[in-house]
Amino acid sequence: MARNAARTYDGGATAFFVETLCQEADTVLRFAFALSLSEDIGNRLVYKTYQSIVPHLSEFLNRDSATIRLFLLRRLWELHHENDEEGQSPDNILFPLLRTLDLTTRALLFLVDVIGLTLEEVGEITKIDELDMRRYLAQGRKRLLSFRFE
Amino acid sequence: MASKSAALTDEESLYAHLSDYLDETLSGDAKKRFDENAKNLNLASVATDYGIQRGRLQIEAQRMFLDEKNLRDIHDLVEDDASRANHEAEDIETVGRSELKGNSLRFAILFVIFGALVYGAFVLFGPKAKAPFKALDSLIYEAIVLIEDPEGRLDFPTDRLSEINHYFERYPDLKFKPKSMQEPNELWEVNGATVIDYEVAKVLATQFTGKNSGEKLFLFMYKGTIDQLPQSTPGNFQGLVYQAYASDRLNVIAWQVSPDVSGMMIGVRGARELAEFAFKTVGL
Repeated sequence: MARNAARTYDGGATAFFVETLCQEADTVLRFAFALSLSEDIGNRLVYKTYQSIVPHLSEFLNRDSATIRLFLLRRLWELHHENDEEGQSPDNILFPLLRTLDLTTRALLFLVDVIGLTLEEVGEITKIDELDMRRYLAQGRKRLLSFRFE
Repeated sequence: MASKSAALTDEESLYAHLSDYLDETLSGDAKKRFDENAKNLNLASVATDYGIQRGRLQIEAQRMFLDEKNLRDIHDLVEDDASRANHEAEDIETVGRSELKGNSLRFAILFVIFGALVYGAFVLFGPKAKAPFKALDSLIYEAIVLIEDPEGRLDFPTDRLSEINHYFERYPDLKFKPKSMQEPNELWEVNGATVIDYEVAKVLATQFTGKNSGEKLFLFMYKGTIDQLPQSTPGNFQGLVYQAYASDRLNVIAWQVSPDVSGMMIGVRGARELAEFAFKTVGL
């Protein structure tokens, strides 16, 4: 990984990044996995997401956690669409479920049913209208209901 | 890809509104349409099945987390070499200062450290206090029995949580102090409570029912610590740290209500929703 890319942050900004922004890293990783189907690619996407917001760190100070989470997820969504990179993590128990779904469907399923966002929030991330979001969600849930967790 | 059309089909509408149905946020008409669709599509149990599957999906997703190395790489994005070197230098200086203490102080510290190490080793590797009963299995069973026969199992039927708090507080020989519960929200009503006596432990059980859905939720409290339960996926809802479990029918979260009291929330909802309910009802 690239190191020491940005070096001009005071202690407060550094603490904010480490203690507040990075609290969302696991949530971001789960969404990254849903998009990429790969734990390795997911880890790289999380790093890229945080790397891309470092130059804008001051903009996040004093923002509430819901806004921060939404921004991180939107940034991840954008970064993934720049390369649309997908892989395989067959050992992950969710891989058989997710691989049968198209990208948008699994994104919607995770954002709503795992992370717990409202459709309004998901719309801010994906820019998809509500009717289509519900349609994708219906597909994902139908598949979820027929899926057998091993 | 999902194909676009003017409106959702009945089947799409049913699946798309499952979480709204479970969360009881559907309007009267929308709920009626949901129930009609479920009936017409022969999917009467779809909401319950979805609640269970969504809970399992959430639990499996929570097993994914960033490892130390990847997290460190992200931290390195803002922590420069100079800062890190300064922090390390401060740490070394602190250690160095401690080395200047007099011999007597040093011996005293060493003695305390040695004592702490022996105590720590005993706590870590010594015999663990045995769980008084298999709480997880037992209380899932109790929840199932309560679902099937609520009338016959609740010794103290009431729709007032304050009466249940009073009932628990004055219950004889509990051997722990129960925490008072608060009304969760207007969508839920309390049905009553009972104290389950396992001889080795007494368990406080309170039953809640969704006013519109009829969905059951059970809150249990008993004397014990959650490290007596099997290891599981940890979760955190606004500071309420819990462990999540799932049976084939029900989801469970367990958390430490107070230092010697464990709580367990059992229902068909996902772990996070159970934690939210626990947070509202029992608090931190």
